[in-house]
Amino acid sequence: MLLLLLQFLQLSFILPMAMQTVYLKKHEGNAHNFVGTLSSAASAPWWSAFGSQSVHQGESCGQMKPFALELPNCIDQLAATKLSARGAEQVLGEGHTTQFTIFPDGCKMSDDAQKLQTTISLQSSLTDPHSRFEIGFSQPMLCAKYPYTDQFYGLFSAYAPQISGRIMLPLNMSSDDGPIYVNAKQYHGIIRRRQSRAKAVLDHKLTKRCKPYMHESRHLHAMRRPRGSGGRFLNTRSSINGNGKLGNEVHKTVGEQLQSSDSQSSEFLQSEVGTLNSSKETNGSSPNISGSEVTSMYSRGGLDSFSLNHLGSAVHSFANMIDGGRGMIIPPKWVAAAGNCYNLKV
Amino acid sequence: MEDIGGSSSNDNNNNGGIIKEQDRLLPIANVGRLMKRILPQNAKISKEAKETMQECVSEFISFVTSEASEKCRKERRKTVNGDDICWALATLGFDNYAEPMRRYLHRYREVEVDHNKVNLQEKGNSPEEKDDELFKLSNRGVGL
Repeated sequence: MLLLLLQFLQLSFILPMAMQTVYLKKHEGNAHNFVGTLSSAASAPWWSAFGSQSVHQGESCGQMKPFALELPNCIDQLAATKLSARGAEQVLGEGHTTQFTIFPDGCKMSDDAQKLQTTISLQSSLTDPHSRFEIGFSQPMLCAKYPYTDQFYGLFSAYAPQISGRIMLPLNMSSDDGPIYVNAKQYHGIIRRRQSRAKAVLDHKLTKRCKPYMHESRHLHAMRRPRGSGGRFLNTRSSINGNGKLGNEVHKTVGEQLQSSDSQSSEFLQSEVGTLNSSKETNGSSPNISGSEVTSMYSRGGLDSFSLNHLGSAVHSFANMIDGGRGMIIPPKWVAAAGNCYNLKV
Repeated sequence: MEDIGGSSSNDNNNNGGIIKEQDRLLPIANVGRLMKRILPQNAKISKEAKETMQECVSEFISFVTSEASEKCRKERRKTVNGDDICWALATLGFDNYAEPMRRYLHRYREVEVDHNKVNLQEKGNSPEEKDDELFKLSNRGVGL
């Protein structure tokens, strides 16, 4: 009895135009005896009732008949499978859970049924406010209409234009979202990338490396540098020149590749401009020190610190230019950095 | 953008198979600098925004590169070149990006040919001129 009440409650909600077409075809399929007169009598009041969104006395009689015809269908559903009952129970839960339940049903059905289910899912995704009730309403229709393949085929052709550009992705267990539709051109690429990321996650677990710094020697040097009361390095301006020299030494002694050292120098320059993330990466400091850095930065005053950083970065870039051309890659980045500094000054 | 891609590629070649955490993403300082380039002078970018954009651009590069790599695998080639990247952009539906990227690639190759000539003629100052030209070309590419 509770399921019947749920069915009536679902029917009472306003459905979009497409669902009316679905319902009319369902109506034709179920009532073969009254094809001629009853369908013509019931279709007009049904459509006009939903179109005008008002129930009149004359049309209420017409509307009663579809409800009466709905009753045997519900009884058939209860007798046929337990799956419809589970679907009705899902309606009481969340909309997302209901959306997730429909997907396993598609696995059991044939390809045409899966496409039809995709159509109905698309319909539900288009109308978000009514998605919960539409899915609850559409699932019994799927069970009822399963034997009639011709109606599926005709129904699918009605929705062909909507599916042309989009393909539904298989759902992720981790994400609670509903089905996601993507560009058909990108479907295989996205699937491939998902597999690559999953493989990378496994590899990452096998070889887990959580280093707060990238280079051991730079980390040791940063630990040896004197720090002030707030945790920041002392003598920032002169130490920039020192860091430039250190870059040369590291480049010569350790034999690191040009690309890596250049990237590190660029990050250090960025930290002088004001980004704390590069500073954290370079120094390997703890979160407490980074918090104190923010505090000392605010206490010092934005304008003075800003201008000081610019002067320091300018000196740093000029020092590197004076040293001469290191190679093919370093000069364009430094020129770009200098350009950014000058833009910031203006 | 070209330099950033090259940097990532070289780092991956160094590791030889094990992908480190810092090589999975682009350097956050470079991402922040690119984001800052399009904003007005006094705009600020939060760290969370930079990290989100870092994830997005890194995934986009991997997405396009895997499509190009798949094409090279089918054609039994080992080198992924610029034409493969342009083809991958067009195949994935990024038509608005594919055409400017082809023009950029065409202009880049012209500049390379010119610099090979200059390099043959003058052997003294060629590195500096080449670097300046690459910087200008890269800047122009961003403007496209």
